[in-house]
Amino acid sequence: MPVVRIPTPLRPYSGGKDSVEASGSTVGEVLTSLTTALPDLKDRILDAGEVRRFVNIYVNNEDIRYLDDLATPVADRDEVSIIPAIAGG
Amino acid sequence: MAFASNPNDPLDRYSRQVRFPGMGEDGQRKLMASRVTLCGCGALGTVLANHLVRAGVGFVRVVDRDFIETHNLQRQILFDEDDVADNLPKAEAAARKLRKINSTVTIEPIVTDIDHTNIEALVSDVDLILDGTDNFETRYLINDAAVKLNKPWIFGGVIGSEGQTMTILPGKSPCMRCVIEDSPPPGMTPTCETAGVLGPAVAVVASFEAVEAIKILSGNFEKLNTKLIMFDVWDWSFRELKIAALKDKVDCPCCKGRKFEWLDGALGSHTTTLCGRNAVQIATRRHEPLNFPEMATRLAPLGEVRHNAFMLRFATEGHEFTVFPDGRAIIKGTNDIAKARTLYSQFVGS
Amino acid sequence: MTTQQKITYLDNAATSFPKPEPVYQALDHFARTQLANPGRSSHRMAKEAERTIDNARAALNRFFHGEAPERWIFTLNCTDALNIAIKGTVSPGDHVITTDLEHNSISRPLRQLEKAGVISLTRVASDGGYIDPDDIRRALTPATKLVAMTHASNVLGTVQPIAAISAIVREAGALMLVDAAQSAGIVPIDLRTCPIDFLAFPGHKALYGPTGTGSLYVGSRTKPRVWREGGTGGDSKKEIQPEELPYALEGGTPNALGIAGLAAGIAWVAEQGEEANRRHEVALLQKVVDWVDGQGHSDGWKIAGRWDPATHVGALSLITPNLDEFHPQVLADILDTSFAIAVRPGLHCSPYIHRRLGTFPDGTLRLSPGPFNTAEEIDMFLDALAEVTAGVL
Repeated sequence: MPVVRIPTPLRPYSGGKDSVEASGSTVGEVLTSLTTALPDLKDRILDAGEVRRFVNIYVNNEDIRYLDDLATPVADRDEVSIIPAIAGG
Repeated sequence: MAFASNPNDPLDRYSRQVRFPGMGEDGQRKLMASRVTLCGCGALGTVLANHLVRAGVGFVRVVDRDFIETHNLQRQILFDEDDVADNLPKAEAAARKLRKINSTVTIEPIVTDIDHTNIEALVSDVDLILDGTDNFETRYLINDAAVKLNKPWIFGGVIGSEGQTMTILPGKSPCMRCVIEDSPPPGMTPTCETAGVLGPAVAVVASFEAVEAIKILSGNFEKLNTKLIMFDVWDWSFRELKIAALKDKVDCPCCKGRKFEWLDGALGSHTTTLCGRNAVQIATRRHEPLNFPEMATRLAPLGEVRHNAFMLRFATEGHEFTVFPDGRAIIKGTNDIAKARTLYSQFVGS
Repeated sequence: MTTQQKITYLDNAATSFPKPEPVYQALDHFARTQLANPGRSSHRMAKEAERTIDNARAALNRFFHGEAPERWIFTLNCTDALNIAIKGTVSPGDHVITTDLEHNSISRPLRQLEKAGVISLTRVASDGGYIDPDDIRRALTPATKLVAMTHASNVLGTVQPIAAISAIVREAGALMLVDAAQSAGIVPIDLRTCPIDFLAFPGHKALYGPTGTGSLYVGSRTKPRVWREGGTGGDSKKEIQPEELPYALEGGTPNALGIAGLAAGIAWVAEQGEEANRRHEVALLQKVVDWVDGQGHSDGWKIAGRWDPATHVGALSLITPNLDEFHPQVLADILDTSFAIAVRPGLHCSPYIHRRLGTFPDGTLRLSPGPFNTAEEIDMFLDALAEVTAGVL
């Protein structure tokens, strides 16, 4: 199953886990099964089915916006990362 | 002898840096003739300034709106307890320290709040812009100015034990709006005030930024970072996310459309002192409602928080925040707009 | 909140919104076809622009029954008009009477002149938001040059007995300056029967012009000093500012576009019929007053000033209960962010009346409906207040 990496700010909504397995063959499917299992994450990642503009999704270090967005294929053991922008300094 | 010490040679004090093959005398001379503007002189900014002034950058303009407080000393390496006692602005205290470190560098401290009216003047005469800020509003402003004036800039951000950095070369790399299309809504993102921050994590991000700056200013463009670097010094993780292709893929309003919405003042917040009440109102132009329960959870350890559907009230360190669902806030306990904007960045986040 | 969202605009005392459709049309038409420099050239566009301004002057003169069109000076706004009247009239040693109802556009120039030792100043106190003509009579001295006061309080909406006061001032030989910011277009003003020497008002409130417009009526007993000299479009040979009105007081290119919009606004107001807008607005405010008398009263809401529908314009100030929870500023921000209702909190640029009311420095929550507001919108406002304060008050 693909693995979703959860960033620190979202771990309160993943039971503290830094990675969660989620099934699916595309990024969209993986995020759907992730947010079905962990519904609190949904609003923080998606807005009306689209990835929120301040969140970036990467599959194995590649930004999905230059792959195929939510239709980007995901293989077993691929790593899907949710990358929020870090504001502090 | 090639490496004999000659105290009259201006390169002498940089001998250990000059011997580094990537630098050489040529690189060092370029560095010494170069000019930078440092936007923000807090945690990231003090480390950046320290590196660049020691390395011999010719001119460093240090811009910051804040005064030093004791809780800054844990990570803001140019400041000490005397500076707190003297109630000095960060830019001025940094300049005094930096001149002692390297008197051959010209330091220009400017105590001001960077906004869309002054940023072009602050960066138009330098070769590089450095990000030492703690909020995305200023970063989008820097990004707009950098793209418009075709100047490189280096983004750095840090919270807790995590950091991010990327190097932006307008026209050659994606800009910040290509990579991060929009900042998180106010209250939706942790800040150093709410989530804490480790000094060494700051130093690592700022050091990465400083190395990139030295490469740019010494002409080593081919060695620049083309990725979004992300790491966590606590978990020992380090990632390089590929972003280069976003430049052509994304329909960026800034670098592709050349619409500078932050610089034009079309985006960004608006601040007003409320008459006679020791309070400042900060209005944002967000469209999505804030998540008050989430904000309350984050703020609860720092002070009393109450909220209902219409507002969130929060008091900490002598200031009372009333935050409204669109990110607007009234900050009580100050008449100073710069101070209010700092407090907003620190506790609400933007 | 985006500005595109449908907003319930209850801040007409600051600037009226929306404008009547003919105003938008006039602005668009003028900007596209006649936006030349009026009177500065002889070509047809300049002539058209000049004609538009002349017509607007004539319309003002008809509307308020002034002595002649040229006595209407176009200004930037009401503040500009008041400054021309005040600073162009008083001389060292003069005594001036004003009231505690005034906006800073009267209070500040007068207080500055007083502090500078130029004038002596008497500020007559109001009662329940009204000035008693006898108090003005008692304040008059042989040295009184000017009485400068508002026709309707911008904080309370109370309309002053301006005819009676003007008559007293005329009899005493002083000049009467009326700030009609909240009344021009709303409360009938007839200069034939009401002896006002200076009438100052903005174009962008109840006359429905755009911002950047205003006017000062300069009566025949006055001769304000010229303070801004420059081009007047007329006799360019002349080395100094011409003495003829309106040119004496109108140096520089006027806001022709704004005046074109203002003319359409005046025409629209005249068409509505005397008092129609005022009655509509007061009827809407009556709903708020009824709420305060009933439900609101038990929660601690109060109306600032005395409520008399016959002598009231469409502005009303609410004194909010429980300042810690619901400061007027906080309430206004909640109404805006959660309900898209625009009202104005604070001191409304009129600090003296708030001191008198005991609402200084936190102020009141002012709502000011206009001709396009509906009873449903007022219900929405009252429901919003009830919802926001439910459980806390």
